[in-house]
Order: sequence, then C-alpha cells, then structure tokens
Amino acid sequence: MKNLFKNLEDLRGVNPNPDFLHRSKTEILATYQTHSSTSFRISQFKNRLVESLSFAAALGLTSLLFYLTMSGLSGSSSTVITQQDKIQFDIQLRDAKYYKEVAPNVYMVVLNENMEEEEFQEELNKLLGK
Amino acid sequence: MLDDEKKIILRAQKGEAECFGQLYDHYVAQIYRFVLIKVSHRQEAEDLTHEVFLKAWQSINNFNQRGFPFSSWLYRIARNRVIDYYRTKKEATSIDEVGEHKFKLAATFDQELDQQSNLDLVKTAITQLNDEQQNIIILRFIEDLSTTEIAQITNKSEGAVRLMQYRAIRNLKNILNNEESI
Repeated sequence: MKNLFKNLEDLRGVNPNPDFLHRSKTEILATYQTHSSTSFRISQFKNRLVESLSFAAALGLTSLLFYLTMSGLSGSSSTVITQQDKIQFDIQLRDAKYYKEVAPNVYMVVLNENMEEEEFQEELNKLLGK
Repeated sequence: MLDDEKKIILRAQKGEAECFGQLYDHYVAQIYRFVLIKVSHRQEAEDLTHEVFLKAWQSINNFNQRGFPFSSWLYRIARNRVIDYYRTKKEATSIDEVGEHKFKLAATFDQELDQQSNLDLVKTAITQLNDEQQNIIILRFIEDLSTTEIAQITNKSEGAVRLMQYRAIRNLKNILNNEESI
C-alpha cells in the first residue's frame, strides 16, 4: 500500500446521510433539556468551587513542601555544624596528644643535635615540668 | 473549532437550543465517521451518533471549558458509547454467531462506502487493530487532530500518543501487506 496516508485522508470524505442529520438534530433540539438556568448557575458554582479547592490544595501542598524543605535544610545545617565541631574537637585532641607525646621527642631530638648537654637537660626538664 | 465557540457553548449551557444546533452541525460528521469506522454499520453508526449528541445536549452543563476543547468532550462520549455498544453486543451474541455477524457488518459497510478497493482495504484493516490503535488512526490520520487533542481525548500523555501512533501505523501496514500478499 503506497498511498496509505492518502487513503486515510480519503476516508474523511465519508459523511452522514443528510436526512439522518435533519431528523437527528430536530429530535435532539426538541428534547426537553433537563437543566435550567438555576442548575446552570449551580453547575458553574460547582466548577468554580472545585477549581478554588484545587488551587488551595496546590498552594497548601507547595507551602508544606517549602516548610519541609526549609526545616530539612536547617536540620541539615545544624547537623553539619555539629559534625564540624566534632572534627575540630578531634583535631584538638589529636594535637594535644601529639604535643604531649610526639612533639617533645622531636624537640628533644632537635635539641639533642644542636645543644650542649646542660642546655638540653634544662629544656627537657621544662617540658617534663620539673 | 467554531468561531466564538466559547460563547456558543456558554449560551448552549444556558439552554439555547439554536446554539447547540450550531455545535451539532459543526461536529456531527467527524463524530459519525469515528463511530462508523468502529462499528462498520451505517444504521448503527447513525443511532450511536444520535445518542452521543443527545447525551451531550442533556449534560452540556457538565462540560467545563477550561482545559478541554469541546470536540475532546464529544469524542469521549462517543468512545464510551461505542464501548457500551460492544459490551451489549458481546452479551447478546453467542460465540458461534460472531463470525457471521462480523461478516454481515463488513458486507454492509462495503456496500455503503466508497467502492475503491484501496479504501476498502484500509478501513477493513483499521477494524482489525485494537481499540486504542483504531482511535489513534481515526483521530490522527483521518480527522487530523493534534497529538495534544488526542492525548486529552484518550487520557494519555503526548509521549504515549506518539508511541501509539507509531505502533498503530506499523501494525496497519503489516495488516495491509499481509492482505495484499494473500
């Protein structure tokens, strides 16, 4: 089938019988319409109410999401600060340990290489709190 | 779409029969074609089309102009009416009668439509597609509706409609190729 699109378009030429159209339209328009102007107003009010409620719901949901996001962020930032404090505290402890255990030894080695025995002993005593 | 369609619909909603008559005149042919291709029988298609517009007239207040075009609303009514038609048909027709029934429908359709063999082949092939693919072929390629409109009518995303278009055309071509090779 080479002209599939053309054949599909040609089906657009199929039209209803004019007699049917006239009869059907006349019958439909003669049918008592169940709605009145009051029911039309009620229907319009209902549509507006649904739209307003939808808008309010969307706004509420957005606010809730915003609140949750912000509270989540503030919670996260406080967590980050706490973690940072802990790291700094750990570093300080490590420094203290270093200065207490390792640094004196290094210092002593350096002194040992460059100072006379007495000077070295004095410094050692200072470090040891003597 | 009609000029001033919104105003015409609003007046029809207030009960002005003449305005609904304008909507009827504008949309009846495309709704009729949609139904005819799906049920393959002129008389049945006329009855169903009449019911679609009667329902539209009686429930026009339920139509909300914001978001959907009027044609989408009519197609939805038509689609549901055709589904009901086949549901009732299924209950009323025994399995043994189905083949004969389909043959009669096809024969009636053949007599009353264009006699060109290609057209006959195409419309017969369309009826072999599943319901969704039939809708897509009719709405997109016969009635020339946009993907957006079809998405609104079929209640699917535009991406899904595009995919369905591709599948429907591919299946239609396969059916036609098979029929030509027989």
